[in-house]
Amino acid sequence: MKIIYSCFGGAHSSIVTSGIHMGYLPMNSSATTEEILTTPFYDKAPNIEVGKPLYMGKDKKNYSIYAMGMGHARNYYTKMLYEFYNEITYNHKKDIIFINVTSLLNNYTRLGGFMSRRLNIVPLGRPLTVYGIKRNYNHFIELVQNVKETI
Amino acid sequence: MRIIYTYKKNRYAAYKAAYLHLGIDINLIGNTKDIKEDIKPYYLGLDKDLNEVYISNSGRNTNIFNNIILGLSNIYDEDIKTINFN
Repeated sequence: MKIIYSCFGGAHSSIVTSGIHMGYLPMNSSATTEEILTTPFYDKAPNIEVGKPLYMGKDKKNYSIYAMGMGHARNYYTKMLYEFYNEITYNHKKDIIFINVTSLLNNYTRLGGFMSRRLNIVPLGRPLTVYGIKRNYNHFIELVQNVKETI
Repeated sequence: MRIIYTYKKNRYAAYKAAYLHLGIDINLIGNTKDIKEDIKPYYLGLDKDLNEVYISNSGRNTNIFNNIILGLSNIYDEDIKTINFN
């Protein structure tokens, strides 16, 4: 089974969610700034690489976890990927799930991500994304718990 | 191998290239505005080397489309090539 967390740029919310899923970030308490910043691929994906699935590792159930950015047209690309996946793996067991985590974003992370990734003002944008992530961290935990219980 | 001809606005160019690739008479394309658009890459046929030829709308961002398709091909170890007509 492959679980792909998707967001706008594949640099913040999907990375944090997959980091919580993988155990890189705590599930019982709020994460510290250092923990968030040291998550693999956090605030790293350049614009040109939006859309590439970033492999985060295998979880305890041996599921492969990925994070991916899909830009503005997330719904279109998600549908297209499911359809194309059915086309190329017609003889395999269906084993892929896309989870959109954009709804967990708040305006702090949006603004910070825009400043850091688009405008390249990293010293200002990156701390703002961390602040926004920390404010909504409970929602990220809830989502991961929900995913782990249902899959 | 799978070859996907993608377009954003210039649908006719992508269809023409795909038809030429498959050796089909391009006069059969007709008016591409009348073609119903699928979200998934639309399968057109097999070429002489047994490559599967598809045609697809690349959505809002061709670069993201290419990355997503190539990412999926890496995950499933498939050989996929995209050719863009914007």
